[in-house]
Amino acid sequence: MTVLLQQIFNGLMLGSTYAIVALGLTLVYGILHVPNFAHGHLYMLGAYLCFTLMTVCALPFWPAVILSALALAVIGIVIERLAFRPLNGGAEINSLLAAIGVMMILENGVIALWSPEGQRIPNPYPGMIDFQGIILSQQRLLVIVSALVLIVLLQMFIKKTLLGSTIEAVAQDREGAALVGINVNRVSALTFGIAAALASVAACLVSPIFIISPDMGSALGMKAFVIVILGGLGSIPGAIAGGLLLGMIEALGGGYLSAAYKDVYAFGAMVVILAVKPMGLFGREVSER
Amino acid sequence: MLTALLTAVFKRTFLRTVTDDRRKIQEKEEWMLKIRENLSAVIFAVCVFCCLHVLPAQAKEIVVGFTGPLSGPISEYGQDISNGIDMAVRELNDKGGITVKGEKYSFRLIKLDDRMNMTTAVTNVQQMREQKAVAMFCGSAPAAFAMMNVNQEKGKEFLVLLYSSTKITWDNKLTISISGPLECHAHEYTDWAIDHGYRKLGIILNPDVYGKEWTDTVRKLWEKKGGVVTAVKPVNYYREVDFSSQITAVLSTNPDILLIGGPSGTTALMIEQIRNMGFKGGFMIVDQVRLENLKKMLKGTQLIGNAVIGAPMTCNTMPPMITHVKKYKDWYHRDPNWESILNYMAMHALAKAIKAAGTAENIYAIRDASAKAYPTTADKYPIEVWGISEYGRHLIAPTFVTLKNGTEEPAYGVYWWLKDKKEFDAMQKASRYPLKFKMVPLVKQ
Repeated sequence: MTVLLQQIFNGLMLGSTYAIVALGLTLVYGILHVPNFAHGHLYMLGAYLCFTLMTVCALPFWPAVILSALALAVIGIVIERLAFRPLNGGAEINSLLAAIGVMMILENGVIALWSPEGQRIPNPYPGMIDFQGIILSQQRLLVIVSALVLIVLLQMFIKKTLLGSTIEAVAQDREGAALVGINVNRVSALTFGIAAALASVAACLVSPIFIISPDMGSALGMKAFVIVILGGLGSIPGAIAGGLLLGMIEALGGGYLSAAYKDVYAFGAMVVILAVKPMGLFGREVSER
Repeated sequence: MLTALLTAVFKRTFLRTVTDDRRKIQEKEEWMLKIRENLSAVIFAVCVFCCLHVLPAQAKEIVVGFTGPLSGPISEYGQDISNGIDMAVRELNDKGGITVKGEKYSFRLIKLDDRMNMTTAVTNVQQMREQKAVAMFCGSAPAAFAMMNVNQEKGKEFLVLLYSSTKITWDNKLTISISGPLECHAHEYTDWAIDHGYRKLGIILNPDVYGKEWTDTVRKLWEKKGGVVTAVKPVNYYREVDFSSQITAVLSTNPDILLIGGPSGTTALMIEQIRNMGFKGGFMIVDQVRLENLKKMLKGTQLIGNAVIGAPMTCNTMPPMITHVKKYKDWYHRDPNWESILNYMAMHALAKAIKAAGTAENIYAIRDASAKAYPTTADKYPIEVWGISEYGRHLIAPTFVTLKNGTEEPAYGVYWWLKDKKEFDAMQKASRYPLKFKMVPLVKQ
């Protein structure tokens, strides 16, 4: 029984990371209507910034996390302005290609500025808690708790503040939002910034447990894409549910069955769910614009 | 009549009509068009001419190639190997190259990145063949297999210098395996573990050719010596960083010792995560892992606890090694390791073999002369290589280090190609290593 609970704990942590990253991706999809393939690489950039702030500038953990989130927010806004806004209204494939271009620039930029080798961020909470036979590492627990806090904050922001509702409005109907006086461009930029900052926080929380390398973003970006489709494009509860589900599948599948087929379970689940519910778990029927 | 003629001449010479102008402009345009159309052809012809006749005659070159991961998550491994070859090539060229049958030859190394992708490796092999590479180095058995498919084609032969400890199961006359055998490590590890009272083994290795061979070899030996394997859970050390679910699964079978390892970086992570889950037992760490890198990532050896692992090459403290380490650090701004030095030695040996064979084209003759570069003893060379086995493996004694509660014990070596005590005593006399040695007779390596 303890083994199962341990695996569930592992899965929760993985799932929380996936959920935060997928949240950012789904927010951006709601605005852009194009999946941002470079999202995983923003995650990776956040980790590297945190690494530099902690090792070169010798900042403590939390200030480094906050600073890199802010920096990524700015970078996200710049990317939206330069790479995506000029392609608004054009064919969707153009935005897809732009995303791929951003992806390559980020990955090779990181390789050029740092090195292609893996790096380690010193772990700020290295302790362990033994809870009835289940070993909970403090850093992993922190990831789960922070993810929960972030999700709640984001929900409150979107649903309860005026700014949040403008994001929802632009996601629902861009023209309609413009007609009622919302500055659509500013809202797009803000959404991108929030999404990038979310990715950065997820990366900073998780990186002390693992190794950071320039290719850590591509695998995660792909999985985030799967999660967003699984949960329904543009749906926030969908991204959260999808992320947790994927984390659980990977942990339980990897632990009880073979780790070699980890990806098979994840993508296999996507195929099955989409066959039953083509719009995703929480997706709604979107009428063609 | 005359006036008509004169008027015509005058008109032609001094007057211009619009039609004249138009005609002139048209002719000029046609002429320019002709030049532009044929310009590229003209330039091309000039270039070809230059290349064939005007460029200075070049000194004869011996080309060697390397394909491996020069970028990506395991770029360090590929860099180390190519640096080793590069160092040897530079040293040879600095001395003016080699003279083969009166002709001077210099060396050129082609480094191609394949990011551990075998399709890219195959393309790289083709590219290097076109450049008439005499030998190719690589760092993984699959890339070597790709090379071995084509290296015996008549007229296009080349030597394959494989840096891998996997057992020689191929029948390729032009391949040399330049590192010690995995089976030697497996024998030593299982002996150490059984001697220290461990009986229950969990195996967490990579699901590739290398990991599978380690798993099978150790499993056979372990069960023969009275141990039991409680769990085998392969994990991708190259792509994953979160091993918690597999570790949980393995630890739930209560092993007292674990066989782990892949690239050093993720192995360090694996050790950390395993210890964080409360495992107090020992480790057997495969020969791919570098203790120096583990120490760097884990900030010391305390976390490793009780373990047996391959020794760093600096366990040889003789002067030639120290000089080599310093030179390598100066040239490449990093520490050398087994990857760089074994390939360095192999490259120098290749040059000696070419010289001894008296040809830079007949690959079979070069292969036959390869053993002439050895033996190399530690008073003159950084590492000791005693020759080449009948199956095509360098006779190098792997070295080991054991850790007791995180403290390193003295390194020692193991000979695997000797048959009896007499040969062992003779080898001890000849060796200049400042280390203790043991003997484990292996067959077919």
